Amino acid sequence: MSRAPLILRLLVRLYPPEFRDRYGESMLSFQRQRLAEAARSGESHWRVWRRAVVDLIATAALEWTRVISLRRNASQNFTATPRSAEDRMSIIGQELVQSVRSLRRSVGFSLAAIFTLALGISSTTAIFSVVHSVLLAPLPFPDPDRVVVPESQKTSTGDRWSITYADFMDWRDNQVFGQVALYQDTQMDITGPSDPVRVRTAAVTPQFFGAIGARPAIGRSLGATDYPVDAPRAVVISDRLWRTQFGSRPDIAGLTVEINAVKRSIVGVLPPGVRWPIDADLWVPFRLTTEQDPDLQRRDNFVYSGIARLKPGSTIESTRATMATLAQRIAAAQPNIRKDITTVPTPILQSMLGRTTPRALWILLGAVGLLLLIGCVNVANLQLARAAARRRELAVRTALGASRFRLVRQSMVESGALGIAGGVLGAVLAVWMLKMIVAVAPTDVPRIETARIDLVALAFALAVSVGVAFLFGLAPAVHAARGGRRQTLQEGDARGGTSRTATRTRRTLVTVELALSVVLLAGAGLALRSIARLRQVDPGFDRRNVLTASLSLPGIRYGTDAKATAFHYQFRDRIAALPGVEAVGIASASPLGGGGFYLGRSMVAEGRDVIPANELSVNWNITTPGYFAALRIPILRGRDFTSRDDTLSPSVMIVNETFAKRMFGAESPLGKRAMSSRDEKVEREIVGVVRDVKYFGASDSSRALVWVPYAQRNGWGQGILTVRTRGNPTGALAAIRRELKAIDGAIALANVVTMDEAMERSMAGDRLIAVLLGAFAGLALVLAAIGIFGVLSYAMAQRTRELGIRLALGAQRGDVVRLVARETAPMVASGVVVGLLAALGLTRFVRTMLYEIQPNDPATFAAVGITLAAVAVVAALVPARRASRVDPLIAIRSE
Amino acid sequence: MTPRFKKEMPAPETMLPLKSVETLMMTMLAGGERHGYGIRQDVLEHSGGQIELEAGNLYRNIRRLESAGLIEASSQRHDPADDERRIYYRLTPFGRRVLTAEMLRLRELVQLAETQRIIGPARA
Repeated sequence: MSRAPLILRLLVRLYPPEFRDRYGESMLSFQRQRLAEAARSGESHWRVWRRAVVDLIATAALEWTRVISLRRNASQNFTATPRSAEDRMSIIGQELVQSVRSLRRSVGFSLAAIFTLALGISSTTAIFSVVHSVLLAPLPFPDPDRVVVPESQKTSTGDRWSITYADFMDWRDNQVFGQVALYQDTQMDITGPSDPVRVRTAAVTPQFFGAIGARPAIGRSLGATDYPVDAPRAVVISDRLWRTQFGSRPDIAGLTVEINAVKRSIVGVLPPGVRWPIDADLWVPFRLTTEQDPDLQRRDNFVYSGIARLKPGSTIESTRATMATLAQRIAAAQPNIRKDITTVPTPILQSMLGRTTPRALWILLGAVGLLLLIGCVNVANLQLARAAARRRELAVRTALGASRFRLVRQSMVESGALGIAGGVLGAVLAVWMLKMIVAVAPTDVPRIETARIDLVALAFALAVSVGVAFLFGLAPAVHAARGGRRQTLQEGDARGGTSRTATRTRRTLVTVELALSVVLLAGAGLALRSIARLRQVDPGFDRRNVLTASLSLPGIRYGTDAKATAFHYQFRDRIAALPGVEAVGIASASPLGGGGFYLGRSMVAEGRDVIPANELSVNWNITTPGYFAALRIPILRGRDFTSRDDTLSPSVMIVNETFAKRMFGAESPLGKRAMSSRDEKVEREIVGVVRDVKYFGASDSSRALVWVPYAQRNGWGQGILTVRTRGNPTGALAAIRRELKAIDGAIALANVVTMDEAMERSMAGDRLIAVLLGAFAGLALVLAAIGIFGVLSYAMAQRTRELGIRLALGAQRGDVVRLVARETAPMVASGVVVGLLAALGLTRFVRTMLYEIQPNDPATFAAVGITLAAVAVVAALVPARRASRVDPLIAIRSE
Repeated sequence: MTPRFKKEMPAPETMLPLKSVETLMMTMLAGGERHGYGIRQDVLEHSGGQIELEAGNLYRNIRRLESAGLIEASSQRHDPADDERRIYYRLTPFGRRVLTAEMLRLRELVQLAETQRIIGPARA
């Protein structure tokens, strides 16, 4: 007969002894059979284990409640019987009541300790697991720390952005890197047996796969033969696409598919997990007729992304120096466009994560670290309190001849059991918490979907918290065993069993706990207020009842301005005619980070010199008529575009308030002209001024924005359809798809999202941080309350005799409550003050995460102080009331 | 079985209503003796996979039924299928009376539902 797994045997030990003796073996036999059966039926092991653990813990708790309530009734029955003189003298009876009471209390405390341990362990493990998989785990490239992203950088501000083709050619020809490649991030529609799907695509130059170090799992990657313009068109696909779209068919290499209306053959599949840029599913060769194209030679055409692998023997520092030297030469040669601009190699992980994600994760890790610390303090406290209650018992037992070893062993067993129970529960909770975090995390956090419970973190959290439980559980037993017994027995006579040092230690611990809770609460409070502010932001348009979806036209059929424009205007008109549609427009990009493309351009007003000092940086957007009506962006002056604004009519544009103010100050911009000084070089007349909108999400600052009509030589092949409906906007989706299919069946409608959803998404990261911080702070508050409650309960229980005497001598119930207040007030006050000071010092680390809230926001800090004080009062009230109801006679006799 | 002294049993009706999982478990035992895992499998099968008892929950219910005198351990024996020593359970005579009373109660409930036209009468 095989033995049941250790963990199940331990869990069965959680049951009350009577239950365990009667059913323990049967339950283990049940579990063995259950596991064997699951292996046969293919039921997931994880499910069986999860159900078994939850079931065993839950029912063990239920059985204990039953046992305890039975004993409570028994003890009540005992005290309710009329007392004879003999009964009163009965020491055995007294002992019985005492032991039942002590056990009852001790179960409460054990549960509190297990709960505390589990919380600390699980939250630390879950957050660290996220940190590990997002920030620390190596990327799935060979030697990932030698892979860098070359970027342009403004020397004065440190801002970084993409690179020019000309710079790339320099690096390649001067062998600055081992391999260096450019790519352009785009989207393409794959047409299969079903509707076309839109996938993220990278058009890559030859050394791309060498730079990331990816070898295909099937077939080959792109080679030199794929790049000539007349070569057959080849693509490489991701493992994900191979599985989802092609059913993992083994004969994938050589298969011809239609991508953006062009037949291409799949030459290879990359291994699972290898995707760069993040989430790309398709790689196509970046094909050029000639590198002499003036657009490629320009040093200010920063539209390409780069990827490179360091040259063998060189370091990131030496590469940085080489790049800087080259950049200085370019700056010297073309100061008007490259002054103050250098190029730098950014480690790939850093470039991928940006600045906010790592900061947010470290803050959360700090928060759970605090929570773990609070948990440890709490467990230490509970153990000390428990030990204090048992000091006399231990002393008596030593005096009666119990061996030291036996006392210490008993403490070890008890602390160990607490630790194991807390650890098991913590591990289960951690898995659940991690799942929850991954589910609600914003989708733009790279690699979060790969998060798995980190065993090192789990082991660390377990070791720390179980260690604390052990240490503080053991110390009193060791002390008693070392011969403090006489002292303890005497102390017990005088003070009811509590030594001054122990009391002081416990109070200090509670103070520390309160202070730590204040820090967490302050952080959470700031994050919550910040998110509340964000929610109130007026994005500059009416986001209710608006649906957006992105369109991308295959270049082969819509290669000219006229064709793309015709499509957009025709599609717009058909949607406008649908019932229930109030207004509709198409624009190249959508506000609130809703996707799409814009160009960063420089504009100069007519009549001014074309020099950098006169240039205004703008976001250049393309749109159809009706777009402003669809978003209800108020046109403050002038007019919207009409279908008559085309190549035959004067060139026009619409600008926003910020543009008008920055370029023309107080003058009216209507009728004035400006041109894109480096690219389009066409003077455009301003025919309308619209209100500012939040372009990159709710926390965005004001930007100068420009819109030009598709019909005036800006017939881009892509746009964001923006529809305002009279009712629920998603209701119109089916009709919109029908109209699209009627015009061109090979175009996919992608990223369908309402503006409300776009707004929520733009805040998802901030919201997650606020929610998690809030949850951790809430837990900290509960733990602090448990701490206060525990310490005061014990303080009062230990002083039952003193209180009895006071009451017998005429003290009022109110006096007892006041006594408790005097005990509590200094703890709470010092905890809150220390915590607020620490919080003031620490919250500056969250400054950059806050929107329109100062890190020392007085209202938040006041609220935190008051909340904590209120919780402390409630936690103190219960023991205070209990103490005031002491029966003087019983109390005095109780020793 | 060692002879036990007779306990004064309460009237079956005082035990009603039973919890549905108790009713199910007792119904399974009415068909013959079962060991714990066997009860789980029967309940799982007859509830169409809906009620899946795990060890703790199952033995908690067994404990309850046993202490109410509705079921009892009958014997320990080897399962011929494997080498496990198992405890088998069976309905006590009192348990059978309680189960019958519960079923009659449920039938009355169903008949009431039929006369109130909440459900149609079962076809024979």
